[in-house]
Amino acid sequence: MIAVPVHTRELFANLVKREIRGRYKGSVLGVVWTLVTPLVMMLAYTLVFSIIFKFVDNRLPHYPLYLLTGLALWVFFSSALVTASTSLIGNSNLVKKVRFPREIVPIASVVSQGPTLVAMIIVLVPFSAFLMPGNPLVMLLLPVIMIPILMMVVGISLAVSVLNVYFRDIEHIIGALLLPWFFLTPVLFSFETFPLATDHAWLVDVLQLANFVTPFLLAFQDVLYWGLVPGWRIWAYIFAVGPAIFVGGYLLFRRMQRDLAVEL
Amino acid sequence: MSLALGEIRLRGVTRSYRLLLEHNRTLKETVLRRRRVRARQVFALLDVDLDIEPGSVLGVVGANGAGKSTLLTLIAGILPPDRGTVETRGRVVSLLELGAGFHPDFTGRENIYVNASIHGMTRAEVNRKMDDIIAFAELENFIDAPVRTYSTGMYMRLGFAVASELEPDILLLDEVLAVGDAAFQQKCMGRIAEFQRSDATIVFVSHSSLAVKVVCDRAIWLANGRIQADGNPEEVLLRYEHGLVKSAPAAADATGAGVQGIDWRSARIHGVHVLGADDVPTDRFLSGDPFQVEVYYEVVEDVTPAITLTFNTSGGNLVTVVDNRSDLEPVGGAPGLRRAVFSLDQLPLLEGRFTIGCRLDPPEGGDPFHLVDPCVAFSVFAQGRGYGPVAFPGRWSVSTVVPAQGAGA
Repeated sequence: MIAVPVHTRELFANLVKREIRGRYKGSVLGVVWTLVTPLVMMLAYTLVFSIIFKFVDNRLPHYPLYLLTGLALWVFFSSALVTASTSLIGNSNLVKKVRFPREIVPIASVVSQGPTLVAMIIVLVPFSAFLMPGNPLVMLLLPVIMIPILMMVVGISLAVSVLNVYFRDIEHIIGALLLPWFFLTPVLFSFETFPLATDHAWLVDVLQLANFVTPFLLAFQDVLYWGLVPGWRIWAYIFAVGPAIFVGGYLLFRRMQRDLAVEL
Repeated sequence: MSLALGEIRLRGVTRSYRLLLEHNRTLKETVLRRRRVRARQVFALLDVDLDIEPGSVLGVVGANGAGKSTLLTLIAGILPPDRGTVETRGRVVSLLELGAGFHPDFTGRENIYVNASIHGMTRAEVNRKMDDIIAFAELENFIDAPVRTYSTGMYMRLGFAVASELEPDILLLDEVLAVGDAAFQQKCMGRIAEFQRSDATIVFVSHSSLAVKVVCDRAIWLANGRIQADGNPEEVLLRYEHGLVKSAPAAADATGAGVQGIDWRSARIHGVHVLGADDVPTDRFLSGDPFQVEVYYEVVEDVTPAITLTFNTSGGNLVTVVDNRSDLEPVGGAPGLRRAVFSLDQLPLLEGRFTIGCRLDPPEGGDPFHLVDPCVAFSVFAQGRGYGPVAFPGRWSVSTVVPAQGAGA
């Protein structure tokens, strides 16, 4: 065997640290920026939807809280995708010159988005517990639903990172796709309050099933915003699709990483 | 069969690259022109068998594109071979690039942790060796400054310092010693010698014959994906440099092939030989040996050509040019074969591989009759008298100008 035991964990931790520190090094606010971006987005959307468009819906109490919950997950998902897609290219001098399990590079860029998500959850939990009528104890389920969520995000990130080495369009496709994708995902609205929902229930089903991010987001919102245990269909979906995407992304990565050092 | 610690074994290793003549870099191109990717297969290594003993230092020489770096990336496990097997045992550290993965905004100290973990060192190990690393890199005063403020030399020193603390079983070096100032290179060489003593196996790619000669106990010459020569570094280098001379663009033996002569019907070179003591043809000299160049040339028409000899290093750097214009002998215009000899009592070259080019010119100037460069090559060995291509036969004298106070008087 040519396998050389490498202290992969140490390298992984350093890659994550490098990613995070590198992002904020030299800025005055530093890591505080991780919270500023989602908060600004929340303020902007609240302003536009509840004040300018007068989109006030009693079925979504404390709309800013609803927004911030959805944004927390969406920002995590989208920035993980964006950083992962360029991660192998950005670390090409490592990939080309050192032997180590390459999958830790995109995974490190996913994990480097973790502090933002955690910080936002820490902000959300007390507000939700205090403001929302649901059972705050449901929030204890959060670690459980994070498992399939992380598997989904890591699987997608593995796939886009390695694909982008061979087809540099991927990063641009992701950039173009994320905005429409965002509007088709119930971050700003909810399917229950969807004007069409009552007349065209099938449309809601299509939007929910075709966009694989939605069930993960619904589970996240159920636990963190509504204080409700997600329905069995959501459980089934996220625990089937999350691991499937992870395995698919991992296998694709393993298959395509062989000649990375040549392609980069 | 299991390997000993530090052993490397290659069996039937082939690695090719697709040289894409038109690369589909984008998805659109791939989808639209799927079947029109034009690629040529280039073999970087072709059916190579190689056994490297634990604790040995192998030098790898060869022209650019001969497969040297591919060999290292395969041993490092960065690329898999197309066919064949590559087996190693022990911690492999590849220094294919010093400071790979340094982050410009991090301080030297922070980068030491990152870089060390890249090569598989734990934080605890780094902490133990931190002072040694900083001392070796000579960066005591700058270690907490971001590396983007470092000079290239400082950057390289830090990279090598980390790498040299890794205690590898197998160390792969790719031209890394070409960087840094002479003092630091000496230090690196010293470190490599230490690795050697610690029984680490070292594979060393270099264009510097001197480094290979000094450091390695075995060398291979790669060309066209195959091992052309394997063995004692002196001999392998000699064959490699000889190969270089032969494959040089204007290469030719002196019998007419590759003639750059313009008017060689008037006069032509037949042969050029270098002779050592007792007029014996040889291609190896010690610095300071008697040395002769013998030129056989034929004069066809009624001319008296001037002979010019051009001495180059095997790397193509000019050493000197000598000609016989100042003492042209009026041998007479009769056509016939002539022999001219250029003699030196003591060869003022010091060390290296040299080539001689020969030219026959009309004495009044103008296009040469015949030009062959290089037409012969020879090696000079310094025997420990110093380094570099040229020997200066100078003398030193040292005298006291101001005696120290209180001394004697």
